Amino acid sequence: MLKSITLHKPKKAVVTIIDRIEELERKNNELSLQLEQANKEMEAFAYSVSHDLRSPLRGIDGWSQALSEDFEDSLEEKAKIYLSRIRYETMRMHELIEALLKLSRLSRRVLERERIDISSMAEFVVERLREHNPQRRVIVVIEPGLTVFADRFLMDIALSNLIGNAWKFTEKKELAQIEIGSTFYDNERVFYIRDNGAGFNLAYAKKLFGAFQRMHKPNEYPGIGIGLAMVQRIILRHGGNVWVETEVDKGATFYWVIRSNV
Amino acid sequence: MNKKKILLVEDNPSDIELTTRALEKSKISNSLVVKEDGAEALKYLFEECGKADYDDYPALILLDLKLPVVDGMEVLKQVKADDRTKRIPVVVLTTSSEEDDIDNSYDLGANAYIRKPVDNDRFIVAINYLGLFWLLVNEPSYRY
Repeated sequence: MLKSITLHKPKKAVVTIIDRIEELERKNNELSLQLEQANKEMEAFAYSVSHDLRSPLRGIDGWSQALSEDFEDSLEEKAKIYLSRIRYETMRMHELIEALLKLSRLSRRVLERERIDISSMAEFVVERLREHNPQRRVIVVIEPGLTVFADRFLMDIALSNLIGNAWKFTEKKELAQIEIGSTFYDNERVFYIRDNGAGFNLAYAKKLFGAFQRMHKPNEYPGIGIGLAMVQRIILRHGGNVWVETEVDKGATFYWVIRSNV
Repeated sequence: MNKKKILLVEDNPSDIELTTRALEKSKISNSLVVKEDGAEALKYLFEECGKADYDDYPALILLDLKLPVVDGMEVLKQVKADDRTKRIPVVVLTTSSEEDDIDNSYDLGANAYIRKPVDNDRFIVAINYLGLFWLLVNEPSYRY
């Protein structure tokens, strides 16, 4: 009797554990599938919404424009100003929708990873910024030879936004400085971009990487708050992380890590 | 200027009026035929045009993609597959910027693809350009 118990009990326990593991695995797979499906549906929804909303917006701007042009002589000055407000707000909504569309495109893109020299990619981005703003004097230091295994198209968007932000938020500095480099953190290669610009209060930055979140007034620094949302989505899609260290008036440093084995 | 008609295939009444207005603002005086779904457009082109006592073929087709009954892509396909209509310039005029829509349109033989801008000033400029180009600058085929 005793013999049979010592023989059977552990066996049963092992079987139960294996069953349990298999069950958990099955559940896990099921959940991942559901999540993937839900994400796909959300992206498709964002996409169709951004298309379908465009049409009525065209109508609003179209008829406001027609009204102010065709009735120019009979409209009072104030009425004309109101009409231009309507058109301005319409364009703002249009920008937001376009941004939504861009975000959904990022998420739908199939990653094509390759070895990318992000130092020279960053150089190009800075060159473009200098061409567009020849009056700005910005010291940019880029560590040479930084590479990642990532999607070139998406990395270009991420870098353009990070550098573009640093460029924008150092606008009011006498001596603007931007530094792009790498460091090690928990045995992992971490990239960073540091600026000596406006910075912001981290306490209010809970949703910093959410779409349409802004840390500054529109008349201080323009923008609709889509850049960092795109950056985060791109980094997350590469199995990485992005975070920030900042203080008001003391600039900001954005760190990101990209994992190639995803 | 070429005095033939322009065929506009568009289902949204507001868009029809805004396009009509933009053509007027651009001093394009060709008369406009509007068909509000794909089936109507095909019926017009294949049953009403080219007959002695009926309409001549249009000089230009402005085609929206999202249409009821028969969609724009199907209209484009049939227009470009038929000897009677294949040389008529077709300009796709749509709100979509989906890569598939652009590529499929070109693959089916679209002559131009324009995404209607939300800013109406820019829409009028676009209509002005396309009218000028397709009705004045471009040399059309005389055999359709």
